[in-house]
This record gives sequence, structure tokens and C-alpha cells, in this order.
Amino acid sequence: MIIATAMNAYLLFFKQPPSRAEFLRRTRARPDTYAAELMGDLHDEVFRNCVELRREYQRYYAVEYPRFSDFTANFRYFPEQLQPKADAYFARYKVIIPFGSHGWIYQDEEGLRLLAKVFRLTPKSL
Amino acid sequence: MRPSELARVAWRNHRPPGLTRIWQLARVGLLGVKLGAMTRSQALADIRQALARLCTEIRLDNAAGYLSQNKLLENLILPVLRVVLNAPGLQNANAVTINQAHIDLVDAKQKLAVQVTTTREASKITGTLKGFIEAKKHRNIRTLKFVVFADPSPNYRSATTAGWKRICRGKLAFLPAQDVIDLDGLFRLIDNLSHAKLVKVRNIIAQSVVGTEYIDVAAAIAGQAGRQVEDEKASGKYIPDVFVETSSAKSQARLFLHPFLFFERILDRCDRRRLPLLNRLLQRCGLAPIPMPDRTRYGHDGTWAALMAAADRLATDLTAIEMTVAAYAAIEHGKPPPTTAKPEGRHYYAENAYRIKNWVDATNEWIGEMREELKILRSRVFILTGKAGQGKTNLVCDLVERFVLRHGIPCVYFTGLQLGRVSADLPDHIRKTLFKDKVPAFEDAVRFLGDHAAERKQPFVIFIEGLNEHTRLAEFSGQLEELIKAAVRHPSIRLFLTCRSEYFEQRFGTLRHAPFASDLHVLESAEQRMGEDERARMVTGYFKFFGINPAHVADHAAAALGKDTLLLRFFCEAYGPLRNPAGYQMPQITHIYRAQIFDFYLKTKLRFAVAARNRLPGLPTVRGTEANLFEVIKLIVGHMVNHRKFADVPLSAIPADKETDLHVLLGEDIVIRRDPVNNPTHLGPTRDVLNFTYDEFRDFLIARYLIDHVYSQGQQAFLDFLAAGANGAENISEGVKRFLFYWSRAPENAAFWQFYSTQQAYAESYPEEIFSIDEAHLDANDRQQVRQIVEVGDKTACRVARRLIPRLPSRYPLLNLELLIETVAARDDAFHAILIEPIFSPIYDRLERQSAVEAFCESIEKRILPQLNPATHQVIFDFLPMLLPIEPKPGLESPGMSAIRMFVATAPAVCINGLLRSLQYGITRHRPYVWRLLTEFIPQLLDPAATRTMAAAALGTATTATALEINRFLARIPAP
Repeated sequence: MIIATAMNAYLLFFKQPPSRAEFLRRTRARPDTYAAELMGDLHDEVFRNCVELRREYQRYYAVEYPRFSDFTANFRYFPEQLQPKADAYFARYKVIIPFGSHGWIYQDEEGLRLLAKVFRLTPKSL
Repeated sequence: MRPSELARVAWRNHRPPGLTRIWQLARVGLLGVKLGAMTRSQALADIRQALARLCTEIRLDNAAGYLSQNKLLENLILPVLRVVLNAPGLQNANAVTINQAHIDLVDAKQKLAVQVTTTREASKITGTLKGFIEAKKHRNIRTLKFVVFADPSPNYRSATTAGWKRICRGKLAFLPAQDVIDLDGLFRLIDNLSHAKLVKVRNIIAQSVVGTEYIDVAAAIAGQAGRQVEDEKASGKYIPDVFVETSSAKSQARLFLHPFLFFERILDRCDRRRLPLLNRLLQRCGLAPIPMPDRTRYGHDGTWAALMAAADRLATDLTAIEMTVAAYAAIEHGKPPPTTAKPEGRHYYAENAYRIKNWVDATNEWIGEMREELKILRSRVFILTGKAGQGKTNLVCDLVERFVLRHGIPCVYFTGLQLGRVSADLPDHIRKTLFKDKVPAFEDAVRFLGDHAAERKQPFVIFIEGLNEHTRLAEFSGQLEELIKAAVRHPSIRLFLTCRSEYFEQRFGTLRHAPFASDLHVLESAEQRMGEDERARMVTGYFKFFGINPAHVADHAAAALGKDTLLLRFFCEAYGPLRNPAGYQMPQITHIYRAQIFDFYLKTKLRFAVAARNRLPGLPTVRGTEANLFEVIKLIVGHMVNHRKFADVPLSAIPADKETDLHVLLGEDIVIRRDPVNNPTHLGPTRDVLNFTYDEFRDFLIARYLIDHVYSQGQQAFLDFLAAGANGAENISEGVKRFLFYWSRAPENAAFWQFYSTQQAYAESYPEEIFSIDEAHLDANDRQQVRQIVEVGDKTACRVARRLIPRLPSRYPLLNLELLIETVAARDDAFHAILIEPIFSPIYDRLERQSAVEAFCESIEKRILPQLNPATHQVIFDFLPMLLPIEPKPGLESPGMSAIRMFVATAPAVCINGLLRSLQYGITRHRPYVWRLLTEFIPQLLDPAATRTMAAAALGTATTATALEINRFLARIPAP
């Protein structure tokens, strides 16, 4: 699932995140091309450079905040509308990533559609 | 074992030759001669008892898992075996290499390994030997010993021991008789030790978890901090759930309080840094890459020394990155590349130099943040300073309750006020509080606390909240310095202190120049800059804590409280069920009346101060009353008024017999506070003075004092005071006038009002403050007076009009939006332009310009439409047409037009009624817009014929623009 939360900001929810190789295969970018480099960078940006909220919570904050929703509320990772569903998302998804798309993709319906397509996520509105 | 048996064992093992035998026996104490503090027989008896207890503990451990093997290893077995096996280099194998299978303790120098087991079964030894040989560990280890803590001691069959020898044959010299040590065998080895070593072992065992001299640090500190937090809650200083994390203070505190955990988070941030992308860019530009942090270099074994060394390595690597990045700092788009650049990258460089520049800036910023985090991690003393009322207590209590205690971080929590009530010096007080007389010196206490914390891979934290609350600050600052000096000697002891900013610099500023200055981290808490969301969360938190049902507080009242933390706090104290008797029913709060809230708050605080005083042990037997405490407040206010000086009342203003009451009030802190004042010559000592914690609260009290004690003595004295204020002699006249106005409007002060309402000060306060008076205390004269103020059409009129707009007649029968509409409707277009237009000037948000009319309409949409009631809300739609000509765009468009179109879709009748009624207003500039809208809404008109008649009648007096629109309307509306 992918939700646009603000200007240039998305929340990506994965049940099974794709490996880099699998992601490149999905995007049909031919190896050693600019497209492959760009898509590889996008994968790295999401899965290596962004904070993964489940992991962050479990490693550092689970003792302090008994519920995932307490954590997201305190750090304001989720917009207010999504906050009531935070614990359900935590139970349902293996990987939850807030992705700032600035410099990667235009924030519009086409951008959302494109991200949803390459990551194979269902777009949802707030 | 009886003493005779002990003697026989000693005789057999020592076999001292000739005459030295007698001396030797005397030395070891078997002849009853004491050598030093401990005889050999006493030492052996202590060891025997402790080992017997150990067996019991192990049995219990196996049954319930209470005493972990790791704790026994670290605390008892390892130090004992170091002595018994003469292997001082013996250490926990997991500390040397992670996941050491088959062995628990290792001495690499002596090539000795030890497996400690609590099971008697031979299979454990067999399995270990097999694994040991298979893992080829015999290449580095020459001797493998097993220490079997089992009761009764195991007795292995010869076939079993033969099997062990077969496993080890040719690879490891394993002699079961020597290398498998049971409890009896361990005791024999201990018995064979020299006296000095025997006493050393005895002391180790005695101070271990099974010894008689064991200091149970966990039990000593258990619950202390939790109880303190509960006390802070009970006193109302700590309000759970109101802490809103707006600054990095809590993040920094987490790092300081749990460095082992949060160092990993720093490393995670390193991993996330986009340095590979930067390096690819540099490489394509023909430039040298920057060094990458290598996470494998920052591993540690869980000891403090190793953690700090890892942090140092990371800091060194950051410096290397910083130096490389610095070489690219001068890069700018359009300029030639650095001389070190390879020529093949010049074209790529020419296109991407600006990207390098951006990366360099971002990387430097990141390095700065990482350095700051590493500095906090290494700090030993965290000092949070800030002004009064900024939430330091809340932050500390929140940290202790939700972070420190939940992580099991050992800590103690004192307040400066508590420490000021004890005569002992600070280190000694802490020692006695925790260990009573079990531990003789503070240094020992620090060692115990430090060891306890190090074992848990956590710091031991001493929290001292509100250093400035100590009653003997000069003495306390010296003690604090000594405490820190002693504490920083042990790597796992940390201190978390809070202090008001002005006190810290004046009274504790020497800490910055002490030998441990580099171990300090001083954080000046930033002023809270909250957004709407954060303010709403704060209000929700306060309401929740004080048991206030949000439904009982009008939205606009809650919003007003969110903008004023002090008023919010006072409001909750005054109206919350928490501070009121059982059965209290909170009234519906539609408006915030400042004076009422302050008055009620004062009474509540005095009631609590009395209760606090009565709880204090060791204070004079005369119990305090609210009247006693109020008398002290009166003395302070009286001093201010008489001396015309509204700050820094000297302590001498309070007579000695009222000192106890004064200290109780100071303890509450929220009413009055003690401040340090520098000696003007800077040569003498500083002195303390009294101030009210909040200036506005002081003005409130001064106003009350002026009415009760100055005005009652004679009008002239009162007028003199006001005249001095008017001439600028006092800088508090505005605040005092405000509260004088409030008090004068109270029905019980009618006589004072008769006098005060004729004064200039009253008239000056009126336009602003009349809206803070309970509507029940207003009358028709007030309505008339407000109308007169609005009719002037100046800036004051605009301010008053702004206050009238959100007031609906249903809630405010006298001063309301209807009054504004009546006043404006009766005037002309020029008046509309000078009064209404300035109110709706555009709002400039951080990112974009927003139409004020749109913002107003958005507010109506959110707050009014969901509960629209034509009877009470019609007045809003009567007002909307007045907004139509504001911010006009070509083609008779405006934000008001868009808003009304939107509202008509949801509430057509009430909206169209408003439009039709607006045609009766004296102002005319909105009329073309209204007729344009009515033309659009023809299908929704309730009575088209009547509207047509009205249009035809209006045509005669209409302006050109209006006439055009009316003709359009008439052309479109169906003929009757």
C-alpha cells in the first residue's frame, strides 16, 4: 500500500519488500543502463536511506512506547487521519517506510501511480 | 567441615618444614592467633558457608531461573578462579570473542579455558570436549577445565573418564581428576592458597551475590525514582501526557541515558547517509572519493571502555570525511574544478558542480549532527537549563517514568528542594539514602553503583531536578562539584541535572570551568514553538490529566488556552475535577475569564501548599493555614506597592516568624520563587530575593491589594499610584489596570466601580478587557458603549469589531456579531472600507498567502456547518455578504463569492436568506455581488415572486453596477 501524506511525502507499506535485483527486474531496466542506475538508486533510497519504522520502533522505542501507534504519534510519522490505524498497519505489514520523494519524482497523481507501479503497491488516499 | 578437619587439611597441604611449622600455623590462624583482621579459619568458614549458599542458589536458579549464570560468572566465579587457578588474565570468553562456543572463561596468555556448568551429567563434559576438539580450539588452548557447581558433587565412572581421554588423545592434555573441579575440589584448591590469597577469595565471595557482605544495589535503589515521580505527580508539578516533544531535548537525553542502545542508532544513521551516491558523483567528476565509515570498526564488547573507544573511532573517521569534504568546499558552478581533478571528468564536472556543492553542505551538516551526538554520548553530566515554566520538571519526570524505568536503567531521583531540607552534605546524603550505614564512604557507594550499572551495560544515573530550589545555594554548588568529581571517576555513573537558566550561570557557572568541564553537556531548552497540532495535543494532555471533559470547553476557549500555557495550567487547576471536591460538576466553559481563573487558582495552590506543609517532617509544630500563607503573599505584594518596585523583594521583607510559611510557598514554586541577584560591586556575595513566578499573576495580586488595602484607605493614595503608573514610573501599569478593570466589574465591588469607572485608566482598559468579563455582569450600557467605540471607525474600533465577530448572540446576548452587523449596516460604504476590510487583510502563512476571507469561511465550514441551526447561526450568514466586496477580482469575483457558493450547496435557505436581508443594509458596495449570486441561485429561491418584486423596486436607486446585475436577474427569473 502507498499513501501520499503531504507534499513530496509518501508512506510505503510492504508485506514483502522486493530485493534490489527483483526490483530491477520488475522495472524492466536493462543492466548497465542509466535507467538501471536510476531505478537502483530509487531502491537504495527507499530501503537503505530511509528510516524503516517497524525496525526503528522495535529496536529503540518499543520499551518506551508500548504500542506502535504511541511511537508514530509522538514522532508524528503518520498524519492524523492514519493514526488510528497505526497498530493495524504494524500488524499487517513487514516494512513501513516514510519516503520523501523530493528530487525523485513529481508529487502528483502520476507520481503516485508510478511509485505504486514500480513497487507493486496499491495506492490509497488519506 | 569442623575446625579440626580444617587444621588437618591445612597441615597436609602446607607441610611447613621444621620450626616454621608453628609460625605457619599461627599465621594461618589455626592456633587461634589473629593476623590482621581475619583468621584463616574464619576465612574458610565464610567461604564454606558462601559455597553452600551458592549450591542452594544454583538449585533455585535451575528451578526458577532467578540467578543467571552470567551474573554468577561475572560476579563470583570469574574473580575467584582468577585467584585459585592463578590466572589473572582470565576473562569472560564472550567478552573476548562474540559467541564463544564450548568455553565460558579464557586466559589467552596462559592458553587456559574454563567451562562452568551447573549440571552433574557426564554428557555435558563429553559434548563440550567433542565440540572443543572438532572446532580445533585445542590449537590455541592447552588446558581445558570444567568447574561443576552441583550438589551433591558428581562422581563419574572410570569408563566415562576413559572416554574423555580418548576424545582428547593426542590433541589436548585432559586429566579428569585435575581438570574437572567440583565444589569439594574448589574448596580444596582454596584451602591450599596462601593466607593473603585466601583472604582475597574470602572477600570476593563475601561481597559477591551469595556473600554476607553483598550490597544489593538493585534492592537499595528499587522504587526510589518511581516514588519520586509519583510525589511529583501528587504535587501537580508533573503532569503526565502534557509533555509535547517539540525540541530535541528528549532525543539527546535518550542518547545520554542509554548510550549502549543509542550508539547503535548513531551507526544506523551512518549507514543511511547517502555517501555512496556522493562518491559516484565525485568519481565521475574525476575527483577523489571521500572515505566511507566502516561499521565493522565500531563494534564493542559491551564494556564502557570499548564503547567509548568505538565512539572515538567513529569520531576519527568523521574527521577524515570532514577533511576530504573541506577540499571540495570551494567548488562552485561555472568555476574550474580543483587541480586534483582528473581531466576525463571535466565535462561531467562542468554539468554537476552545483550538485557537489549541495552535497558538501549537506555532508558538513550531517557531520556536525553526528559530532554533537557523539559528544552527548561521551558526556557524564547532562544539564538542562531553561526559564521558569518551560516544562523542565515534566521532561525529567517523563524521561524517568517512561524511558529510564521502563529500560530498567538504575537511577535515583532527588529534587533540589529535598536536598535543601537535609543538613548532611550531598554525597553523604545520597550514600545514606541508598545504603544507610552498610557502605562506609561515598566512594564505595559510587563503586557499588557503578559496578551494578556496568554489569547491566547501562549507566547509573543520578537525577537532581531543580538545582535552584535548594535553600542554601552557595553551599550546595560546592557540594555538587564534589559529587560530580567523585562520580566521574567511575565510567558508568552519570548525572542528569536541571536548573533555571539565570541560576545556573550565577550559582553553578563554576561547573563550566571545573576539571570535568569537558564531561558536561549543557542544553538550554528552546522556547516552545508549537504549531496548531502540537498546541491541540498539549491542551488534550492537560485536559486528560485534570479530568476535564473537552465537550465542556468551547472550541474557541480551548484554542485560546492552547496559546497561553500559563492560563491553560491555571484553568485546569481551577476547573478540573482533579483539584475539586468529590461530586464536583464542571460548568460549561464558553469563554475564558482570566480574573476568575487566577482567583480560583490562587485558592487551589494555597490549599495545596497547606497540605504540603502539613506533610513535611521536622518543621515547626504550628501547622500552616491558607490565611498564614496568604499573609506572606500579602507582605510581598505590600512591599512591592509601598516601594513602587515590582520585582526582587528582599528576603528581609518577611519576618522571621513567617519563614516557614515562606519556604512552603517557595516549595510550590508556581506562586513565588527565589531569585539570585548579583552584588552591584561584583565583589561581595550574591543575595537572594523574592519574585512572583509569573508576572501576570503578580499583577493580578497587586490589583487585588490596591482595592483591598490602598483604595480602602483613601482614594487619593490609589489615584497617586495610578498617576505614577501613567507617568511611566512603573512598567506594570498595563497589567495592573487590566485586573483592576476585572475586579471593578465584579458585582461585589460595585462601590469601587462607581469610583473607578470615572477614571481614565478604566476607559483605556475598556475596549480590550470588556470582552473578558462574564456576560452576566454586563448590561445594555455596555452594548451601547461598545457600539460607540465601533462607530468611531479607528484602529480600536477594528480591534473591537474583531472581538465581536466570533461571538454569536445565542451565547453572548449583548456583545456579539449582531451588534457589529447593526452598526455597519447602518453606515455607508466608506465606513465598511475602514472597518471591515482591515480585519480581513490577507494572512501570510509560512509558504503561501492565504485569503483571510477564505480562512474565515473554512472555519465556518468546519465548526458551524456540521451543527448548523438556522435560529442561532443565521447571523453568520447575515455577515457573509459584507465580505463579498473584499479582495475583489475581475468579473465580480472574490473569495466571499466562492465561499457563499459553497455554503449555498450545503445550506441554501439560510444562506439565501442572508443575501436577501443584506440588501436592506445601508452599505451598497456588496449589492452587485449579491444580485449576481441571486441570479445563480434562482432555482433555489423560496419565493421567486417576492424576490422579483424586490429587484424591481431596488432598480430605481441602484448604482450602475448593481443595476446591471439586477437587470440580469430580472431577465433570468421566470415571469410570474
